[in-house]
Amino acid sequence: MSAFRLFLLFIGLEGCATLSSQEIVQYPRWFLEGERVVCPNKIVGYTTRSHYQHNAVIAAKKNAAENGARFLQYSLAGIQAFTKFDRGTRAEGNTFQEHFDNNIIEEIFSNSVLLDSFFTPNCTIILLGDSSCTLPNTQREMLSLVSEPVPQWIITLPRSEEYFYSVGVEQQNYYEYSCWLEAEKAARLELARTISSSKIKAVQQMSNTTNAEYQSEELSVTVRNAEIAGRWRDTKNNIYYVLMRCSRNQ
Amino acid sequence: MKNLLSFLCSSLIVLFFVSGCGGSKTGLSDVSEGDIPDWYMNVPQDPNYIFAARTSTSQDMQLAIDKAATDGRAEIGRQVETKVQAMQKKFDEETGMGKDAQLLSMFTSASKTVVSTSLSGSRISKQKISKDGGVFRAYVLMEYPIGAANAELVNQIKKNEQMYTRFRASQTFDELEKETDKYEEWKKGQK
Repeated sequence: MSAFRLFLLFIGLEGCATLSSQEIVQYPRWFLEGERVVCPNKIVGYTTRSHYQHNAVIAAKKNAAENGARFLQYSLAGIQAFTKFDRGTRAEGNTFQEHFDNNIIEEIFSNSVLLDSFFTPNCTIILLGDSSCTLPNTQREMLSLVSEPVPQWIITLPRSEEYFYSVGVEQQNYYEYSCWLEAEKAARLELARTISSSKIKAVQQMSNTTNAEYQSEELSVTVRNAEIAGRWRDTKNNIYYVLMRCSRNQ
Repeated sequence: MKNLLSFLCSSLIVLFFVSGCGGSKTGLSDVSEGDIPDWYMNVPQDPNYIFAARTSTSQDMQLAIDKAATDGRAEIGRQVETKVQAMQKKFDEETGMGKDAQLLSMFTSASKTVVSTSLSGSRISKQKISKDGGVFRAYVLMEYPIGAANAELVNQIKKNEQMYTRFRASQTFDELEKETDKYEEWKKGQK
Protein backbone atom coordinates (compact mmCIF):
# COMPACT_ATOMS: atom_id res chain seq x y z
CA MET A 1 0.00 0.00 0.00
CA SER A 2 2.84 2.38 0.82
CA ALA A 3 4.25 1.79 -2.68
CA PHE A 4 0.88 2.81 -4.11
CA ARG A 5 0.90 5.90 -1.93
CA LEU A 6 4.39 6.78 -3.14
CA PHE A 7 3.21 6.33 -6.71
CA LEU A 8 0.30 8.71 -6.15
CA LEU A 9 2.65 11.19 -4.51
CA PHE A 10 5.00 10.96 -7.51
CA ILE A 11 2.10 11.65 -9.91
CA GLY A 12 1.11 14.68 -7.84
CA LEU A 13 4.67 16.02 -7.77
CA GLU A 14 5.22 15.41 -11.47
CA GLY A 15 2.04 17.27 -12.37
CA CYS A 16 3.06 20.11 -10.12
CA ALA A 17 6.54 20.34 -11.60
CA THR A 18 5.10 20.76 -15.07
CA LEU A 19 2.44 23.25 -14.13
CA SER A 20 4.85 25.37 -12.14
CA SER A 21 6.63 26.19 -15.39
CA GLN A 22 4.32 29.19 -15.66
CA GLU A 23 6.56 30.87 -13.10
CA ILE A 24 9.41 30.99 -15.61
CA VAL A 25 8.87 34.14 -17.57
CA GLN A 26 12.22 34.80 -19.20
CA TYR A 27 13.22 34.09 -22.75
CA PRO A 28 16.18 35.29 -24.83
CA ARG A 29 15.61 38.17 -27.21
CA TRP A 30 16.30 36.01 -30.27
CA PHE A 31 13.39 33.80 -29.26
CA LEU A 32 10.83 36.55 -28.66
CA GLU A 33 11.94 38.89 -31.45
CA GLY A 34 12.83 36.47 -34.23
CA GLU A 35 12.56 39.04 -37.01
CA ARG A 36 15.47 40.99 -35.52
CA VAL A 37 17.86 38.09 -35.82
CA VAL A 38 19.86 38.77 -38.97
CA CYS A 39 21.01 35.31 -39.92
CA PRO A 40 20.24 33.23 -42.98
CA ASN A 41 18.30 30.04 -42.35
CA LYS A 42 17.77 30.67 -38.66
CA ILE A 43 15.48 28.06 -37.15
CA VAL A 44 14.24 27.33 -33.66
CA GLY A 45 13.77 23.81 -32.37
CA TYR A 46 12.05 22.52 -29.26
CA THR A 47 11.91 19.40 -27.18
CA THR A 48 11.22 18.42 -23.60
CA ARG A 49 13.72 19.05 -20.82
CA SER A 50 15.97 16.15 -20.04
CA HIS A 51 18.48 15.33 -17.32
CA TYR A 52 20.87 14.71 -20.21
CA GLN A 53 21.11 18.19 -21.73
CA HIS A 54 23.29 17.04 -24.61
CA ASN A 55 20.61 14.55 -25.73
CA ALA A 56 17.91 17.19 -25.36
CA VAL A 57 19.87 19.61 -27.53
CA ILE A 58 20.32 16.97 -30.25
CA ALA A 59 16.58 16.20 -30.16
CA ALA A 60 15.80 19.93 -30.36
CA LYS A 61 18.25 20.25 -33.26
CA LYS A 62 16.38 17.48 -35.10
CA ASN A 63 13.12 19.29 -34.45
CA ALA A 64 14.68 22.53 -35.73
CA ALA A 65 15.81 20.82 -38.93
CA GLU A 66 12.26 19.53 -39.46
CA ASN A 67 10.84 23.01 -38.82
CA GLY A 68 13.41 24.42 -41.24
CA ALA A 69 12.29 22.05 -44.00
CA ARG A 70 8.68 22.94 -43.26
CA PHE A 71 9.24 26.69 -43.37
CA LEU A 72 11.28 26.50 -46.55
CA GLN A 73 8.23 25.26 -48.42
CA TYR A 74 4.99 23.70 -47.24
CA SER A 75 1.79 22.88 -49.05
CA LEU A 76 -1.55 22.99 -47.39
CA ALA A 77 -4.73 21.63 -48.91
CA GLY A 78 -8.16 20.70 -47.62
CA ILE A 79 -11.55 21.91 -46.61
CA GLN A 80 -12.84 23.17 -43.29
CA ALA A 81 -16.58 23.39 -42.75
CA PHE A 82 -18.95 24.79 -40.15
CA THR A 83 -22.70 25.00 -39.76
CA LYS A 84 -23.88 28.20 -38.19
CA PHE A 85 -27.12 28.07 -36.21
CA ASP A 86 -28.85 30.76 -34.21
CA ARG A 87 -27.53 29.22 -31.00
CA GLY A 88 -23.94 28.85 -32.18
CA THR A 89 -21.60 27.34 -34.75
CA ARG A 90 -20.91 23.65 -35.10
CA ALA A 91 -17.58 22.51 -36.49
CA GLU A 92 -18.08 19.89 -39.18
CA GLY A 93 -14.39 19.06 -39.27
CA ASN A 94 -11.52 19.71 -41.59
CA THR A 95 -9.43 17.76 -44.05
CA PHE A 96 -6.39 20.04 -44.02
CA GLN A 97 -3.18 18.26 -44.79
CA GLU A 98 0.26 19.76 -44.69
CA HIS A 99 3.10 18.44 -46.81
CA PHE A 100 6.74 19.39 -46.94
CA ASP A 101 9.92 17.92 -48.35
CA ASN A 102 11.32 15.78 -45.57
CA ASN A 103 14.28 14.73 -47.71
CA ILE A 104 16.06 17.96 -46.85
CA ILE A 105 15.82 17.54 -43.07
CA GLU A 106 19.11 15.64 -42.93
CA GLU A 107 20.84 18.27 -45.06
CA ILE A 108 19.60 21.11 -42.84
CA PHE A 109 20.61 19.14 -39.74
CA SER A 110 24.17 18.64 -40.92
CA ASN A 111 24.69 22.09 -42.47
CA SER A 112 23.43 24.17 -39.55
CA VAL A 113 25.29 25.14 -36.43
CA LEU A 114 23.98 25.63 -32.92
CA LEU A 115 23.91 29.35 -32.18
CA ASP A 116 22.32 29.28 -28.74
CA SER A 117 20.20 27.16 -26.43
CA PHE A 118 18.27 27.66 -23.23
CA PHE A 119 16.16 25.62 -20.88
CA THR A 120 12.89 26.20 -19.09
CA PRO A 121 11.77 23.73 -16.40
CA ASN A 122 10.20 21.43 -18.96
CA CYS A 123 11.42 22.61 -22.34
CA THR A 124 14.66 22.77 -24.29
CA ILE A 125 14.82 25.48 -26.94
CA ILE A 126 17.65 25.97 -29.42
CA LEU A 127 18.55 28.29 -32.27
CA LEU A 128 20.21 26.95 -35.39
CA GLY A 129 21.67 28.98 -38.23
CA ASP A 130 24.20 29.05 -41.01
CA SER A 131 27.81 28.49 -40.01
CA SER A 132 28.52 32.06 -41.15
CA CYS A 133 26.17 33.45 -38.48
CA THR A 134 27.26 35.00 -35.23
CA LEU A 135 24.70 35.84 -32.60
CA PRO A 136 25.38 39.22 -30.94
CA ASN A 137 25.19 39.37 -27.17
CA THR A 138 22.23 41.71 -27.34
CA GLN A 139 20.26 38.87 -28.90
CA ARG A 140 21.19 36.54 -26.04
CA GLU A 141 19.83 38.96 -23.44
CA MET A 142 17.11 37.37 -21.33
CA LEU A 143 13.84 39.30 -21.42
CA SER A 144 11.26 39.07 -18.69
CA LEU A 145 7.71 38.65 -19.93
CA VAL A 146 6.54 40.53 -16.86
CA SER A 147 8.52 43.70 -17.50
CA GLU A 148 8.53 43.64 -21.31
CA PRO A 149 5.65 45.48 -22.98
CA VAL A 150 3.05 43.18 -24.52
CA PRO A 151 3.63 43.22 -28.29
CA GLN A 152 0.97 44.99 -30.29
CA TRP A 153 0.79 42.17 -32.83
CA ILE A 154 -1.04 39.81 -30.48
CA ILE A 155 -4.16 41.93 -31.08
CA THR A 156 -3.43 43.87 -34.26
CA LEU A 157 -1.62 42.17 -37.12
CA PRO A 158 1.13 44.26 -38.78
CA ARG A 159 0.35 45.68 -42.22
CA SER A 160 3.16 45.41 -44.69
CA GLU A 161 3.53 45.54 -48.44
CA GLU A 162 6.62 43.36 -48.17
CA TYR A 163 5.30 40.52 -46.04
CA PHE A 164 2.17 38.53 -45.34
CA TYR A 165 1.73 38.09 -41.59
CA SER A 166 -0.28 35.68 -39.48
CA VAL A 167 -0.68 34.91 -35.79
CA GLY A 168 -1.12 31.45 -34.30
CA VAL A 169 -2.32 30.83 -30.75
CA GLU A 170 -2.38 27.86 -28.44
CA GLN A 171 -3.69 27.48 -24.94
CA GLN A 172 -1.35 26.00 -22.34
CA ASN A 173 -1.22 22.24 -22.13
CA TYR A 174 1.02 19.77 -20.39
CA TYR A 175 4.16 20.33 -22.46
CA GLU A 176 5.49 23.78 -23.23
CA TYR A 177 7.27 22.65 -26.39
CA SER A 178 4.03 21.32 -27.86
CA CYS A 179 2.31 24.65 -27.09
CA TRP A 180 4.90 26.49 -29.18
CA LEU A 181 4.75 23.93 -31.98
CA GLU A 182 0.93 24.00 -32.06
CA ALA A 183 0.92 27.81 -32.13
CA GLU A 184 3.37 27.67 -35.06
CA LYS A 185 1.11 25.16 -36.83
CA ALA A 186 -1.88 27.46 -36.37
CA ALA A 187 0.16 30.39 -37.72
CA ARG A 188 1.20 28.36 -40.79
CA LEU A 189 -2.45 27.56 -41.51
CA GLU A 190 -3.52 31.17 -41.13
CA LEU A 191 -0.64 32.33 -43.34
CA ALA A 192 -1.77 29.88 -46.02
CA ARG A 193 -5.32 31.23 -45.73
CA THR A 194 -4.07 34.79 -46.17
CA ILE A 195 -1.99 34.00 -49.23
CA SER A 196 -4.28 31.64 -51.05
CA SER A 197 -7.44 32.39 -52.93
CA SER A 198 -9.51 30.53 -50.38
CA LYS A 199 -12.83 29.51 -51.82
CA ILE A 200 -15.62 30.31 -49.43
CA LYS A 201 -19.03 28.78 -49.84
CA ALA A 202 -21.93 29.87 -47.69
CA VAL A 203 -25.27 28.16 -48.18
CA GLN A 204 -28.21 29.38 -46.13
CA GLN A 205 -31.10 27.17 -45.16
CA MET A 206 -34.14 28.84 -43.67
CA SER A 207 -37.36 27.26 -42.48
CA ASN A 208 -40.01 28.02 -39.90
CA THR A 209 -38.09 26.17 -37.24
CA THR A 210 -34.42 26.39 -38.19
CA ASN A 211 -32.08 28.94 -39.56
CA ALA A 212 -28.76 27.51 -40.60
CA GLU A 213 -25.84 28.45 -42.78
CA TYR A 214 -23.32 25.94 -44.03
CA GLN A 215 -19.92 27.56 -44.48
CA SER A 216 -16.94 25.88 -46.05
CA GLU A 217 -13.49 27.08 -46.85
CA GLU A 218 -11.32 25.31 -49.40
CA LEU A 219 -7.57 25.82 -49.45
CA SER A 220 -4.81 24.67 -51.72
CA VAL A 221 -1.62 26.62 -51.47
CA THR A 222 2.15 26.37 -51.28
CA VAL A 223 3.96 28.74 -48.97
CA ARG A 224 7.68 29.41 -49.38
CA ASN A 225 10.26 30.89 -47.03
CA ALA A 226 8.05 31.41 -44.01
CA GLU A 227 9.71 32.53 -40.81
CA ILE A 228 8.78 33.26 -37.23
CA ALA A 229 8.84 37.00 -36.66
CA GLY A 230 7.92 36.98 -32.99
CA ARG A 231 6.75 34.95 -30.03
CA TRP A 232 4.90 35.88 -26.88
CA ARG A 233 3.61 33.98 -23.91
CA ASP A 234 0.73 35.48 -21.95
CA THR A 235 1.59 34.05 -18.55
CA LYS A 236 -1.54 35.46 -16.93
CA ASN A 237 -3.93 33.85 -19.37
CA ASN A 238 -1.70 30.93 -20.35
CA ILE A 239 -1.74 31.59 -24.07
CA TYR A 240 1.17 31.10 -26.46
CA TYR A 241 1.35 33.42 -29.47
CA VAL A 242 3.47 33.09 -32.59
CA LEU A 243 3.81 35.75 -35.29
CA MET A 244 4.74 34.31 -38.69
CA ARG A 245 5.52 35.99 -41.96
CA CYS A 246 6.57 35.28 -45.52
CA SER A 247 7.45 37.45 -48.46
CA ARG A 248 4.61 38.65 -50.70
CA ASN A 249 6.74 37.63 -53.68
CA GLN A 250 5.94 33.95 -53.49
CA MET B 1 -10.32 -0.20 7.50
CA LYS B 2 -6.63 0.73 7.79
CA ASN B 3 -6.21 0.21 4.05
CA LEU B 4 -9.15 2.42 3.34
CA LEU B 5 -7.71 5.16 5.54
CA SER B 6 -4.33 4.90 3.79
CA PHE B 7 -6.02 5.19 0.42
CA LEU B 8 -8.01 8.24 1.54
CA CYS B 9 -4.84 9.88 2.90
CA SER B 10 -2.99 9.22 -0.35
CA SER B 11 -5.86 10.64 -2.36
CA LEU B 12 -5.88 13.75 -0.17
CA ILE B 13 -2.14 14.23 -0.72
CA VAL B 14 -2.60 14.04 -4.48
CA LEU B 15 -5.56 16.41 -4.32
CA PHE B 16 -3.45 18.81 -2.29
CA PHE B 17 -0.70 18.86 -4.92
CA VAL B 18 -3.06 19.09 -7.85
CA SER B 19 -5.04 21.92 -6.31
CA GLY B 20 -1.81 23.62 -5.29
CA CYS B 21 -0.85 23.66 -8.92
CA GLY B 22 -4.15 25.12 -9.95
CA GLY B 23 -2.37 28.15 -11.31
CA SER B 24 -2.86 26.82 -14.81
CA LYS B 25 -6.47 27.92 -14.71
CA THR B 26 -6.86 30.55 -17.35
CA GLY B 27 -7.14 34.10 -16.08
CA LEU B 28 -8.85 35.39 -19.22
CA SER B 29 -11.31 38.13 -18.58
CA ASP B 30 -14.93 37.12 -18.91
CA VAL B 31 -17.11 38.66 -21.60
CA SER B 32 -19.55 39.68 -18.88
CA GLU B 33 -16.86 42.05 -17.62
CA GLY B 34 -17.39 44.23 -20.61
CA ASP B 35 -14.34 42.88 -22.38
CA ILE B 36 -15.90 43.18 -25.84
CA PRO B 37 -13.38 45.00 -28.05
CA ASP B 38 -14.31 48.42 -29.39
CA TRP B 39 -13.59 47.40 -32.97
CA TYR B 40 -16.22 44.66 -32.63
CA MET B 41 -18.89 47.09 -31.47
CA ASN B 42 -17.84 49.84 -33.89
CA VAL B 43 -16.50 48.19 -37.01
CA PRO B 44 -13.84 50.44 -38.62
CA GLN B 45 -14.70 52.28 -41.80
CA ASP B 46 -12.08 52.60 -44.51
CA PRO B 47 -12.72 53.16 -48.21
CA ASN B 48 -9.81 50.87 -49.03
CA TYR B 49 -11.08 47.88 -47.04
CA ILE B 50 -14.09 45.70 -46.48
CA PHE B 51 -14.36 44.70 -42.83
CA ALA B 52 -16.33 41.97 -41.10
CA ALA B 53 -16.34 41.59 -37.32
CA ARG B 54 -17.39 38.18 -36.07
CA THR B 55 -17.37 36.22 -32.84
CA SER B 56 -17.66 32.56 -32.00
CA THR B 57 -17.12 30.15 -29.12
CA SER B 58 -15.49 26.80 -28.64
CA GLN B 59 -13.81 24.76 -25.94
CA ASP B 60 -10.76 24.84 -28.21
CA MET B 61 -9.19 28.28 -28.55
CA GLN B 62 -8.01 27.87 -32.14
CA LEU B 63 -11.36 26.44 -33.25
CA ALA B 64 -13.14 29.48 -31.78
CA ILE B 65 -10.89 31.70 -33.94
CA ASP B 66 -11.40 29.50 -37.03
CA LYS B 67 -15.19 29.61 -36.65
CA ALA B 68 -15.25 33.37 -36.36
CA ALA B 69 -12.73 33.86 -39.19
CA THR B 70 -14.61 31.60 -41.63
CA ASP B 71 -17.83 33.42 -40.80
CA GLY B 72 -16.03 36.71 -41.40
CA ARG B 73 -14.66 35.53 -44.76
CA ALA B 74 -18.16 34.39 -45.80
CA GLU B 75 -19.46 37.86 -44.93
CA ILE B 76 -16.66 39.52 -46.94
CA GLY B 77 -17.49 37.23 -49.87
CA ARG B 78 -21.12 38.39 -49.69
CA GLN B 79 -20.09 42.06 -49.59
CA VAL B 80 -17.76 41.63 -52.59
CA GLU B 81 -20.52 39.85 -54.49
CA THR B 82 -22.91 42.71 -53.77
CA LYS B 83 -20.36 45.25 -55.00
CA VAL B 84 -19.73 43.31 -58.21
CA GLN B 85 -23.48 42.98 -58.81
CA ALA B 86 -23.86 46.74 -58.36
CA MET B 87 -21.06 47.23 -60.87
CA GLN B 88 -22.79 44.87 -63.30
CA LYS B 89 -25.99 46.91 -62.96
CA LYS B 90 -24.09 50.12 -63.73
CA PHE B 91 -22.48 48.58 -66.81
CA ASP B 92 -25.86 47.28 -67.89
CA GLU B 93 -27.48 50.72 -67.56
CA GLU B 94 -24.68 52.42 -69.45
CA THR B 95 -23.83 49.95 -72.18
CA GLY B 96 -27.02 47.93 -72.55
CA MET B 97 -25.09 44.82 -71.62
CA GLY B 98 -28.28 43.05 -70.53
CA LYS B 99 -29.56 42.97 -74.10
CA ASP B 100 -26.43 41.28 -75.35
CA ALA B 101 -26.63 37.73 -73.97
CA GLN B 102 -23.06 36.87 -74.96
CA LEU B 103 -21.59 39.96 -73.29
CA LEU B 104 -23.71 39.42 -70.20
CA SER B 105 -22.50 35.85 -69.97
CA MET B 106 -18.88 36.99 -70.37
CA PHE B 107 -19.23 39.62 -67.65
CA THR B 108 -20.96 37.15 -65.32
CA SER B 109 -18.11 34.72 -65.86
CA ALA B 110 -15.56 37.46 -65.12
CA SER B 111 -17.40 38.59 -62.00
CA LYS B 112 -17.70 34.98 -60.78
CA THR B 113 -13.93 34.67 -61.11
CA VAL B 114 -13.58 37.80 -59.03
CA VAL B 115 -15.86 36.46 -56.31
CA SER B 116 -14.18 33.07 -56.13
CA THR B 117 -10.65 34.49 -56.11
CA SER B 118 -11.38 37.73 -54.34
CA LEU B 119 -10.56 36.46 -50.88
CA SER B 120 -6.89 36.22 -51.65
CA GLY B 121 -5.47 38.72 -49.21
CA SER B 122 -8.30 38.60 -46.71
CA ARG B 123 -6.83 38.32 -43.26
CA ILE B 124 -7.50 38.52 -39.56
CA SER B 125 -6.68 42.12 -38.85
CA LYS B 126 -7.46 42.06 -35.14
CA GLN B 127 -8.31 39.29 -32.71
CA LYS B 128 -9.16 38.98 -29.06
CA ILE B 129 -9.85 35.95 -26.90
CA SER B 130 -12.04 35.96 -23.80
CA LYS B 131 -13.64 33.36 -21.57
CA ASP B 132 -17.38 32.94 -21.95
CA GLY B 133 -18.50 30.62 -19.18
CA GLY B 134 -16.52 27.44 -19.67
CA VAL B 135 -15.57 28.10 -23.27
CA PHE B 136 -13.30 30.43 -25.23
CA ARG B 137 -14.86 33.28 -27.13
CA ALA B 138 -12.88 34.67 -30.06
CA TYR B 139 -13.55 38.07 -31.57
CA VAL B 140 -12.02 38.62 -34.99
CA LEU B 141 -11.96 41.53 -37.37
CA MET B 142 -11.48 40.32 -40.93
CA GLU B 143 -10.26 42.78 -43.52
CA TYR B 144 -10.01 42.62 -47.26
CA PRO B 145 -8.52 45.31 -49.54
CA ILE B 146 -11.39 46.29 -51.83
CA GLY B 147 -8.94 47.65 -54.42
CA ALA B 148 -7.73 44.10 -54.98
CA ALA B 149 -11.23 43.04 -56.11
CA ASN B 150 -11.53 46.07 -58.41
CA ALA B 151 -8.09 45.39 -59.89
CA GLU B 152 -9.03 41.76 -60.45
CA LEU B 153 -12.27 42.78 -62.22
CA VAL B 154 -10.36 45.19 -64.48
CA ASN B 155 -7.88 42.40 -65.27
CA GLN B 156 -10.67 39.97 -66.10
CA ILE B 157 -12.34 42.53 -68.38
CA LYS B 158 -9.06 43.38 -70.09
CA LYS B 159 -8.40 39.71 -70.74
CA ASN B 160 -11.50 39.56 -72.93
CA GLU B 161 -10.98 41.75 -75.99
CA GLN B 162 -14.65 41.95 -76.98
CA MET B 163 -15.73 42.91 -73.49
CA TYR B 164 -12.86 45.38 -73.10
CA THR B 165 -13.67 47.07 -76.44
CA ARG B 166 -17.26 47.48 -75.34
CA PHE B 167 -16.57 48.69 -71.83
CA ARG B 168 -13.43 50.80 -72.09
CA ALA B 169 -15.26 53.88 -73.36
CA SER B 170 -17.86 53.65 -70.58
CA GLN B 171 -17.80 55.93 -67.57
CA THR B 172 -18.21 52.97 -65.21
CA PHE B 173 -15.03 51.36 -66.54
CA ASP B 174 -13.24 54.70 -66.29
CA GLU B 175 -14.28 54.97 -62.64
CA LEU B 176 -13.22 51.38 -62.01
CA GLU B 177 -9.81 52.01 -63.55
CA LYS B 178 -9.37 55.21 -61.55
CA GLU B 179 -10.18 53.30 -58.35
CA THR B 180 -7.68 50.63 -59.35
CA ASP B 181 -5.00 53.28 -59.97
CA LYS B 182 -5.82 54.77 -56.59
CA TYR B 183 -5.41 51.33 -55.05
CA GLU B 184 -2.02 50.85 -56.74
CA GLU B 185 -0.92 54.29 -55.44
CA TRP B 186 -2.17 53.42 -51.97
CA LYS B 187 -0.29 50.12 -52.13
CA LYS B 188 2.92 51.99 -52.94
CA GLY B 189 2.26 54.28 -49.99
CA GLN B 190 2.03 51.28 -47.66
CA LYS B 191 5.66 50.35 -48.41
